[in-house]
Amino acid sequence: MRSDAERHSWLIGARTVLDLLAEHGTLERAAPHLLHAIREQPDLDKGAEVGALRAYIGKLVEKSTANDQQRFSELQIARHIQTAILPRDLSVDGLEVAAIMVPATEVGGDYYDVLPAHDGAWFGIGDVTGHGVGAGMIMLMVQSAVAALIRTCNGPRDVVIELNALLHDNIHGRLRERDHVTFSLLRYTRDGLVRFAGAHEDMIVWRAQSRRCEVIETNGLWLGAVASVAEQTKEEQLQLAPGDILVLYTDGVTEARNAEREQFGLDRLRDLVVELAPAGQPIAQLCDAIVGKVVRWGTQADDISVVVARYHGDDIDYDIDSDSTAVQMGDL
Amino acid sequence: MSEIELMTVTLDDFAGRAHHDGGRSITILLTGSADHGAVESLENLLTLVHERALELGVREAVVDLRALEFMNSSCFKSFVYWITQIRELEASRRYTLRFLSDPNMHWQKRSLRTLSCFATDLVSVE
Repeated sequence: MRSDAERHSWLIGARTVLDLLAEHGTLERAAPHLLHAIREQPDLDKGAEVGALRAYIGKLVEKSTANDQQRFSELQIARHIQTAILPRDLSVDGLEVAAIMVPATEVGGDYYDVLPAHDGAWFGIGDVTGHGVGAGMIMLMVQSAVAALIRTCNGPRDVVIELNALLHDNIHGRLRERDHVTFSLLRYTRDGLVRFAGAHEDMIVWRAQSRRCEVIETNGLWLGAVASVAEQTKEEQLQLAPGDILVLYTDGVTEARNAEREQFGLDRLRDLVVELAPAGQPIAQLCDAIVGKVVRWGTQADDISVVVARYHGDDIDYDIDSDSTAVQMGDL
Repeated sequence: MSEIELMTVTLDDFAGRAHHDGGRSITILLTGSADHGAVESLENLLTLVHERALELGVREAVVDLRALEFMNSSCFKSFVYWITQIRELEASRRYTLRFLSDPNMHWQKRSLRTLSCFATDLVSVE
């Protein structure tokens, strides 16, 4: 027979285990097994302790469900903010533009934007490290800051440098987090010139003349991690010719994994563009096809964002409004 | 000099091992795939390595990624933080980071290129 002290100590131990299970979100699954184990304990079956423990489990399950619901609501809000802030109108002189973002359940912090300018447009694409509400919040900071900075800064390099300073102050100084942002900013002008700065994923340019893809590295530092990126941030440029297609994407595309854990990868993405681009289909279809292929590749673990732009040249007056499409898709 | 095991991390899909060579160097070997599930373990591993590096006065930490199939951006965050911590030390206490990479893995080439830019005097990639 156990003494009262032993029984008391066993019950405290059982409660501690329950607290730990609840903390790790596994209480509901473990509860039936726990109740069975408790009933098997000598001296406890007949006492009031089993009832007390059962009630305790009930309370913890209730609390855990409430916490899950709260977290789910927070994620819903973050997901809404992330997609609501995306550009609706992608009309840009000389370009046919399409973009899609498929947010992951946990909100991956993807960002893209197309901001009109008097002689072209700015394109931004990036990804906040981490997931959840915090990542969504930082993504919102990036969008707002870029939209403001392009009004006063001279070019992409200046914007990237200022954006970094702002993010560093906010992420480290105020939020006390360690996140950073992969980010590239492009300044397109009607003559097909694209100046860019900031380190994000490699860009793909499909050349209409050769029907091949060029992979263009983006260099510099990830933003928000150090106080200044001025020294490491260089402005580079590329020239689009009529018919060329520019493809921007986030890591949710290339890092998507199939059941065999094989990544979709840059090579597969490039091959897909080479296969589909020559057909000359509307750019929205190309964008759909890329995203559809990635989504079908495996279980989605991260946000997937793709921005595609076809250059028409600067001497043709296209009705591009009808071709430009922005889509946010919950499921494809 | 004999090796001293500092820490071992083993997850389903990711493993990390840090050891001190008994002299002026610590080596970290990472294998498998470091994605969201590995973030916390990697963070703990690098925090401990940094603390031990300062205690032992090592001059170099070697990070062997050649058998690491993949690392996501959240895991790279731990490396960025590690580098910023070393940068903030007074010059006499700083140690260098040498990454051993597989150039055939595109993600390594791309991410290590950026990582090395955070402190070109402290970080090298081979």
